[in-house]
Amino acid sequence: MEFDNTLEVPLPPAEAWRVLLDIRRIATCIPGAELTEVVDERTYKGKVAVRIGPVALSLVGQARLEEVDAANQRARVTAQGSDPKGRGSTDAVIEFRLEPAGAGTRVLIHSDVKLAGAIAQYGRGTGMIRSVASQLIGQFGEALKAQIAQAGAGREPGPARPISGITVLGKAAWDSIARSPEKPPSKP
Amino acid sequence: MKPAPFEYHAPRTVREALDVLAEVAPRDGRVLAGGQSLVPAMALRLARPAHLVDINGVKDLERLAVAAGALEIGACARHAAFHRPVVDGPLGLLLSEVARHIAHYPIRIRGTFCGSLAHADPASEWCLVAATLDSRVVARSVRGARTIAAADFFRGAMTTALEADELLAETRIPLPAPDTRFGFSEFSRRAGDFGIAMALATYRVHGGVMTEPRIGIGGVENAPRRIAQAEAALEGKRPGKEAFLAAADAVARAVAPLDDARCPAPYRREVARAMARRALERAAA
Repeated sequence: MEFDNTLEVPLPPAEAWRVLLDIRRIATCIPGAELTEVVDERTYKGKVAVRIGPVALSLVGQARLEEVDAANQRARVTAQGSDPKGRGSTDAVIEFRLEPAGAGTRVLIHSDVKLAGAIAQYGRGTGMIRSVASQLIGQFGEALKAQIAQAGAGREPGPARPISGITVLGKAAWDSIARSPEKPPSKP
Repeated sequence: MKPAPFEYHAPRTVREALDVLAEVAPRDGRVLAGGQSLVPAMALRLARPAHLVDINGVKDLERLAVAAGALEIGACARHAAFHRPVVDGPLGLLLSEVARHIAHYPIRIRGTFCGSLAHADPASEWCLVAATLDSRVVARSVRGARTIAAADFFRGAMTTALEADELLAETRIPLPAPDTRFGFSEFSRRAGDFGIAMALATYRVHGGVMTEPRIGIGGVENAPRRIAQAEAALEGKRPGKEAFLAAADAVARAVAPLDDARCPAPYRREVARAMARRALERAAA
């Protein structure tokens, strides 16, 4: 199924672009996500916990930055994940595009998500899955905004979700943001 | 199929239920009330909670009473309790009219009102009632109790403001004025199926015109809600075809319908329009 979402980031596009490509930082803002391994600069392994009513899934897999077009501020990410309990799997292509919106940035997200297995039948079709995806993106946007605001105010970021394996790195990234709000850390 | 293994807890008091819930919530512990959504998902092994906190033995949660101008519905009150009016006046009649549309009789014997709210299926009749009548839910945990307005409670499809360690202990529906008129209309392809669209309308008539109009739409969007634009089209107007059609049009314009292969968004929008009109007509009858 394909769907579109938008996200507002309170940073100018050039800075928002750098922040959004800082996967280690971004991963801490994705609800229920845990980055478990950085394979290389563009490939990341992890898991995402998704909840649809009584169904709590943990999708384990990897995401890869397939295309990064800095000139046009567009990026394409592919992600595959499957539930270790065999309830289903997902295969997604997500395209991001940035455009200025006032003093900040609007992120346009186009997702093409394929779901397979029993989970695809839960939630009576795509409507509810889409709703869950929108909520995830909404929560992600809030978390990112909160993180940027905290960094801007020079405060220590709030309690993070467990980000096993990269806790120290993630903390370091946050600290550098907190120190220089105008200059987010460059891409690792 | 059999469910995946889980640990079963059977508290006897609210206090015990909250204690055990606080303990098991971080390890995917779930509350079991009527079990009409949770248990089938477990049987299919889609849901695999590690702990179930069965509240069916907690006597205090069976409460169904009027207090402080509101009907208070405890967590263990079943759908079937509403088959006959539970309170004098329009609210009892309204709940009894709506209850008939919920799934099938055996499900209504077990399923609970508060369980429906906590599950928050977009097509839940009780969620629509709660949203339209500005109900409040009482969420309790070992951390304390808080009251949440329905408008803040439903966050999306099957997503609520309830935290994992909170028990939806009670729902409070304000008693409408005795002369409040109501109408409910739902469309599903087979009786008992999840509705494609449903509408609940209430208003009073003073000096020949409608006052305090409310119209809620369920099954159409991620969560039920009142449609302010449609209510504005009713306020101060004579109850009749002209105002009802204007309100139904406002509903059709305001909603962003769910879209899926069996029921495309444009179709659902038209059904929502029809349900809004019929609910208003039934209120006038």
